[in-house]
Amino acid sequence: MFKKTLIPIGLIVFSTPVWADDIQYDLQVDGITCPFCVATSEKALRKTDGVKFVSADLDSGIISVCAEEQVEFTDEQLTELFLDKGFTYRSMSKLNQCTISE
Amino acid sequence: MYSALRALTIPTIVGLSFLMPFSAAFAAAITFNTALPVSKGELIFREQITVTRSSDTFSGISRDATTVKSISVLGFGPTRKLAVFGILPIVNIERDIGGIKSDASGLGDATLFVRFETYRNDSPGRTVRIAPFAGLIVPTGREGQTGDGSLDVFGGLIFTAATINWVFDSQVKYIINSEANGFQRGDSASVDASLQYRLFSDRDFAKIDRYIYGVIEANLTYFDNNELAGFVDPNSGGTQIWISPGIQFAAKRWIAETAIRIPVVNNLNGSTLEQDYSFVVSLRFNF
Repeated sequence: MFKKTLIPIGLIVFSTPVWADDIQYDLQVDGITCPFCVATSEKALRKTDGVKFVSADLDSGIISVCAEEQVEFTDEQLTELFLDKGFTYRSMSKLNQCTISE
Repeated sequence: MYSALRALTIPTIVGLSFLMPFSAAFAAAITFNTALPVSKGELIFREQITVTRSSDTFSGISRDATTVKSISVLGFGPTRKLAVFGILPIVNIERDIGGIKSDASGLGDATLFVRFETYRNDSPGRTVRIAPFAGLIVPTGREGQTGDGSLDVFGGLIFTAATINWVFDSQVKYIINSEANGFQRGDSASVDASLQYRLFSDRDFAKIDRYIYGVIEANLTYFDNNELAGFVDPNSGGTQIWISPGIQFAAKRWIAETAIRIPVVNNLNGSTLEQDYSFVVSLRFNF
């Protein structure tokens, strides 16, 4: 009886909660050359619900966005977003997990 | 009226522009404000302090002047291509002419201008942009002391090119000054260029969110003679070329920068007081 009670409690206490998986978008953006450019792009991307953090590699011109699973970017949306910030969006690739950290 | 424009011949403009390698948009020049970057819906604020020292001896009389300006610049991007700017200086001038001292301080003449991007070519890690601009210099200063009392207009063109390792900004600008109470400052034409070169790019302290730029700028200005009660003032106008080495520390949301402006050509007419140097320090924020 004791064993039967303890095992489920132990499982609950020591198990790691599982949330929706994070995904990562790698965005190829042209014209980004400086910390200012990264900051203004980050600010715009973070306004999207579900975006957790953003990282940029200026050498490759890739902005990586770690977001909750339900976040769906479209080419049209990103084209407009980056035009507003003064840059040119080219393409994106989607990964099923985040490889970047804040 | 347009002789200032004639003085800036095409070879001069082209020559000065190519003194520095091609250039860009984002760290932006220290000695001129027209290239400040601002995105749609965002604000940029720059606070700049300049100290200019002038001295010489004319007909055995020593003359010197120290001008301190606190210049506030606010820019906003209402659309993707359009940016509007306001510049408000506070001026203090101290003069000593043959032992007779005088000073003036207060609001200087404000500047309002718009810039419209007409060309942009982005590629990975680089960009080239061209934007004409036009504006007004409003007589908010005290006439004859911290301002010249007239409503003046200006226009020009900004060319900017940037990579992740360097930025180049250049502008041509023409100011048409109008007359107020018998005094008309001469028109002026200028060509300015700024190269910002990224330093320590392989070091951790100067990566991604904080860049350090070494800066070299050149400014060529031709001033037409002033007119007083319809008569040309022979002790006004001329040509100046300044070289300004400086440094910028660029973080994601702010830039600190400083430069010293050194006149390498001070070809001013008559007894016009010549400037010795000018020191600039400024802080810039993006919101």
